[in-house]
Amino acid sequence: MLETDTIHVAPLANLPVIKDLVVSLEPFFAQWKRVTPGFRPADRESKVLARIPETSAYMRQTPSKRDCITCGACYAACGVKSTSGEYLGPAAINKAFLRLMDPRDLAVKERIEVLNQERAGVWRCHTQFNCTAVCPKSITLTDSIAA
Amino acid sequence: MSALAVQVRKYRGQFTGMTAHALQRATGLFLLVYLFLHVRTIHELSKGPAAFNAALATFHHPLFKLLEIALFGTVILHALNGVRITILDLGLGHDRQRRMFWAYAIGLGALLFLAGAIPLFLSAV
Repeated sequence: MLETDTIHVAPLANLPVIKDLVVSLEPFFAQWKRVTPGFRPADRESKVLARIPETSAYMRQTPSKRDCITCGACYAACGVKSTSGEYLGPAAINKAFLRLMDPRDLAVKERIEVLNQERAGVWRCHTQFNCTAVCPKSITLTDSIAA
Repeated sequence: MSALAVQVRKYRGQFTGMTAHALQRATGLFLLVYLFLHVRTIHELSKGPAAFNAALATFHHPLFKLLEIALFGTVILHALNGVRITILDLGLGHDRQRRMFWAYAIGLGALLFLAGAIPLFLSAV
């Protein structure tokens, strides 16, 4: 239930408006790329699939966090993002968290360096929980940032 | 919508986490003002008992009694929400952060406030 008679429609915040309700997700993906979102396996030439056992800690701890559809809702809702162009944003940090939790991925150092930055990294989060509240996939983003 | 309007909407308290954040900021600012006044008043001690007593006499006005009660409530809210934030920063309780705010910071805070504010008010009357 909306509990209101008025619905306010506006473009996603914190993103440049192209026209009417259409925004550019370029800034969102610029931050996304900073955390090396791609999988970095130990052996790039391996022909064997690097499976993760169903019962592994990674599978148990990250099921919902893998559902991100990069919609940008968290980025738009973030109170810190609205005042800081440098902050990575919840989605990028969640992606970094996922890759860091993956035992097969080796790009740990470079991701930690980005996440540890004073102006852009995890320390900017003020636990407002706006990201968690608006996520259409119900990902507990603040939990990823805190982790 | 202007950038300012976007900011005001963000602090409208639409979500519990944002409400708690805004309240923590507001109570923090209020406590900062109080701290400045407090240090300023205590500093009068260095000028001797007469000056200090004169400074304290200002606070006998009924308005300051009400402000004292408001201060008590501010401290409770800021402290309890601060504990909530500390717990969240440790990575605990993220799935019950709303409950932590309304049940503990507000609910328990209200009980503690009444327990202290009523005697404060009665002693002032």
